[in-house]
Amino acid sequence: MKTRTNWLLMILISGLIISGCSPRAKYERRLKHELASGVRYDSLFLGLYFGMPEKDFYVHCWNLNHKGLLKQGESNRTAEYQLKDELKHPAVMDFYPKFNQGKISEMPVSFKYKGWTPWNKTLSSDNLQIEVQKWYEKIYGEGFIKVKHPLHGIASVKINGNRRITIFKQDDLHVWAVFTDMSVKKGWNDSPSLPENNQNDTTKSIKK
Amino acid sequence: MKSKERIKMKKTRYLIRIGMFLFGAAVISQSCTKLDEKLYSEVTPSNFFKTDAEFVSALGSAYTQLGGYATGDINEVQEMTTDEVVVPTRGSDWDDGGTQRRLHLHSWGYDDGFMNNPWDFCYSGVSTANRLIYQFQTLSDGGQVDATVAAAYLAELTTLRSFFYWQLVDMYGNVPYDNDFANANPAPSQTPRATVFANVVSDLETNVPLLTKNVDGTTYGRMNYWAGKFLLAKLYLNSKIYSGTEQLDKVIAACDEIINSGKYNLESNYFANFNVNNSGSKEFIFAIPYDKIFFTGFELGAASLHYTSQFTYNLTFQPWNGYCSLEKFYNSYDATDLRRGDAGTLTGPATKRGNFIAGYQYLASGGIATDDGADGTDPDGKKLNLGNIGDIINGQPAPQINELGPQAWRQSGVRIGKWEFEMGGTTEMSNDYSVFRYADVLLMKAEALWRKSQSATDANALALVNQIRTRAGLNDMTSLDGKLSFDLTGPVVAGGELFNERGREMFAEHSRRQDLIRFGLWAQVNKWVLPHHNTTDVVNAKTDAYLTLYPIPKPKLAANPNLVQNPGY
Repeated sequence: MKTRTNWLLMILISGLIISGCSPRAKYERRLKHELASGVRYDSLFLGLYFGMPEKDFYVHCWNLNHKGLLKQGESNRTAEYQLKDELKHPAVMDFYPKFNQGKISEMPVSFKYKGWTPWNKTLSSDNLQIEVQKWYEKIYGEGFIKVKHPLHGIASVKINGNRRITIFKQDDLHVWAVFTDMSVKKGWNDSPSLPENNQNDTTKSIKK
Repeated sequence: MKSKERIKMKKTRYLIRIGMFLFGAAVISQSCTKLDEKLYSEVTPSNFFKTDAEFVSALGSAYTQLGGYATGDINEVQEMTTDEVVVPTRGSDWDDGGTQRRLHLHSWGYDDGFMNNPWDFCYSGVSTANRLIYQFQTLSDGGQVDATVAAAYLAELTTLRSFFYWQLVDMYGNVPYDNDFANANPAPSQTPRATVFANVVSDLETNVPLLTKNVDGTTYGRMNYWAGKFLLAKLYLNSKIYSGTEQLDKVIAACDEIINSGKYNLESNYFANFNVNNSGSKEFIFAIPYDKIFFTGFELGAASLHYTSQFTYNLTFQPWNGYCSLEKFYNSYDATDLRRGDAGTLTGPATKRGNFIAGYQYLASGGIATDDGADGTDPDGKKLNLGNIGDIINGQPAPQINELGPQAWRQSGVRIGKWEFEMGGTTEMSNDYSVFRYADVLLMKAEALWRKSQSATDANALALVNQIRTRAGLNDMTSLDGKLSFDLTGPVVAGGELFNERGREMFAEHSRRQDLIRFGLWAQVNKWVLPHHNTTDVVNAKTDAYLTLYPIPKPKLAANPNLVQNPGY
């Protein structure tokens, strides 16, 4: 009787340990803790920040364009910044924010190695994803955790106050880092949104 | 004693169990935050495609790449380099060191981003197709999926891959053709253009017969048999350019098969192909099913419309004032051509929809739209008049575009209005984009017939072209020869009117660069080039023959020592 009780106890403890340490649980605890802290991290990059009015964003980017720091990005849909030696190989980052009530609330940033070809695995998104995370750890600090992203496989997530950074690869070429203001967009189901399409979306379209 | 020992042993076993349990839990605890970085391209038991729905879902990732086709980087190099579309430099905003102007002047450099991005677009499509082909083939070979089911999907993926290779062989000529996904050479050499072309044609001739001939909701936006035939017709039509050998009979045969199938037809209304709700047009042989939420990437309104047009269409964003059409091209449409549409005037907005947004613009709320930032030299100032239609300068009609740069008027140029703009729309448009359209089948066959007969009055060719013209409300064409649309004061050119008609019908559908090269007109760029005053621009647009190919992009050369730059660069 006592042995059975002990086994039940062990099963109960194991359940608690496993569920408590699952990536999702860890992510949710971190999110809850960080949001409760009330600390805001609005800084993004290149002088951009959460809450930046749409008009200010355009003016700021135009100024950076005039200085030669930004140019028209991939497929004319983004602003492009040429990375110099931040990563192991020459790369570009493209970005265009999402606005909520006229202010930046999310910033999807895509990366690709300029020399990418399908055959050169050194320049594949698998390696690029690791490099982007290393670079971001230097800028935004360590503490990325790995989670299963609902749409994009294994992702790395870091939350500081209201700022969530999610890094994942989209295809063989592109890696995304999505900055999300979680005080605006709460909850795991609010997956980082992209200007690009994903597999599931396309399938819907095909069936249209 | 025995009893005590038994209790001690029991206690020890219990502790060992607890210890094992806690160790196991700790291992699980570690692993759940340190997941392996696995390659999703690997075939594992967990990501097998077992059902039809799973195959279709996986196929979706192969088509995803097409999101950037309509107004992305392919559009830049296939349209901005021609007499149809230009982005003048209006002040210094987003001049980007003159990259857009260099497209117009045929003076691009091998390190311009516009040379690198189309390469990535195409090879990304090739790569995804090859990954899926490898996965499907592995499963099929291993008997884990029905071989006949897999065969159809493999044929579809090979056809889609051929589409990307067609773009590559068209733009860059000699490119690597290596489809071994599992054991790819990390630094492959280029394959000669004619060989890549032959390989792609061979792939299609083998695989297209395996594709479904159904034309319905399940094949919309996918490579079916007819889309494969269209792609073959396109390759055969350009065969002389790609391989040095004409294949005109094959063009005719492929087009005839599509025409005689009865599956497709001209829409009675040309603009039915370009409406917001144009899904399922009977002219669409292969279309990209854009959706402002589910499948984005078609952003023509944002790229072309004037800033103030936001209030004409009640858009949720301010457009970028970029793409416009050239005056000579606009004027190549007859005034009665239903495809041109009319221009807004001081007394009211345009009443006939057309390929262009021209003349005075009006607010959705009523009243003429104004451009507070209008240039001081703009002929009619703040009133928003796209292309300055009807304006006079020194007794002469004002130019629609005063110059390529650096100070093109903000209101310069009629805009691309071929695809309907949704009132209240976002940057993303929901109009589907026809990559292969039935009207082009008629024009391709007409051209092949004309090239064979070398007769300006080839009755069969004229009959096909006149189907297009009848729909456009025009009289029948009686000669395929004529003055070129960008050189109306010049000589009559063999096939000139056929070339012009292709432009008027296929405007902004990514066919103009190929047309110009195939008709031998690419080097005549100085006849459509705009006045340009940037000190860094070349004095005259370049006309060298090598420019029919784009350069192998600089970053690709740097990353692969086995790549050789195209001649001339």
